[in-house]
Amino acid sequence: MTRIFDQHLTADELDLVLENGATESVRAHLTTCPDCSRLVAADRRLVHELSRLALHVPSVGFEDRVMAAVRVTEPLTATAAMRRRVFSTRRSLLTAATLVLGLIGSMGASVAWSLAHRDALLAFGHALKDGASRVVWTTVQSLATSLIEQPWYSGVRGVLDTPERLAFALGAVVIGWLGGMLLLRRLIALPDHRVAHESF
Amino acid sequence: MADVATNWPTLTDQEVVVRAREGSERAYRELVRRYERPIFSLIYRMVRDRELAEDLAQETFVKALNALDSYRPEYKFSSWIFKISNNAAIDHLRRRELDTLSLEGSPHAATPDAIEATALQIGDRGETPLDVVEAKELGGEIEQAIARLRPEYRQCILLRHVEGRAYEEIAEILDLPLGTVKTYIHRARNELRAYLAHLRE
Repeated sequence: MTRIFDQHLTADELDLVLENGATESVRAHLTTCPDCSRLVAADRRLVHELSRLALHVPSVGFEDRVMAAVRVTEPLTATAAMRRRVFSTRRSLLTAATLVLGLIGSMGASVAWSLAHRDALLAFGHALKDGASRVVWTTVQSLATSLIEQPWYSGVRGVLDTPERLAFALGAVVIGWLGGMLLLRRLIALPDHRVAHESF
Repeated sequence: MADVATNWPTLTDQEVVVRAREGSERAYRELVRRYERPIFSLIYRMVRDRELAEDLAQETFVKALNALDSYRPEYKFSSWIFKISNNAAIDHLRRRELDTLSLEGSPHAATPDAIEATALQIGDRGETPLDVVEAKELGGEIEQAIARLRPEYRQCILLRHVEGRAYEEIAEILDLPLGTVKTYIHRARNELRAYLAHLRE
């Protein structure tokens, strides 16, 4: 916007100067017009002092007095709260709609692709099954081999060679496990009475 | 439980309002804490009576918080609550104006002479010795100068230069055309400069 050079600043131009947004011509005018320069300096000082005015503080207990007169909404269930958040703004609604559409779209595309490529999927399934079976069988074999090769294996096998001994050993293991669980539960339970130095 | 884990200062006003609408009392308190000082300050500077300002500020918060469902999140919460507080202050000033005739001059008077002609002069401002001491300080001088402005100018200058609100937001808060807001602020600055001229001498 052009301005007549020797004309004093308009209110809008003065506002722009105060917000440090003066145009080149306004700045040029200020260098030559002592009246406008004085006005700008006085307004700058005034605005500065106004912005420094301290906030007044209400008396103690103001918040509680307000809260005593306010009807707080009944708490919502998690589902209702989620629904409300989704529908609270156009943006959140748009985001939720995009996610749902994306999910439905990708599921639909996945189903369509699967139907169109059944043979490939079956072949892939068989290959996966064969591979998994091979891996499981190899693992079992190596575990069994390494177990048999342990020095203590023959001794343990000698102890557990009859059904009665095996049942006895299993019983002992179960009892030991139950005992351990009870002990652990007792150790991690919170005390039901006050204890000394609990604040530490 | 979720309230305890929430880092309230990091939430935007809109997010706090959503929590309040969900029934979180802590969210209501957070809104009061965020705005009690600016709202009370604005009203106090409008009505110049501490007790009355507190009543009007309380009325503002109760009205706003009880009507959170009618708040539209696409607008700034600050604009909404300032609008309610401004209406409370202006309603009070209008009621008082009806009781006492116009003390400030007609709001439609365009020139200083017209304002002078339509205003009633007050002899005794009811100043206490404490008020006089306070007035001797710059802040006090400015507060007193602001108090002498017409309410329309006062609310505009407070929102613009004390609260730092944008012209557009002030127009929204006060339901005034943007041009009128700019004019009021410009005139308010002129009057304040005149009232405070003795400080420069």
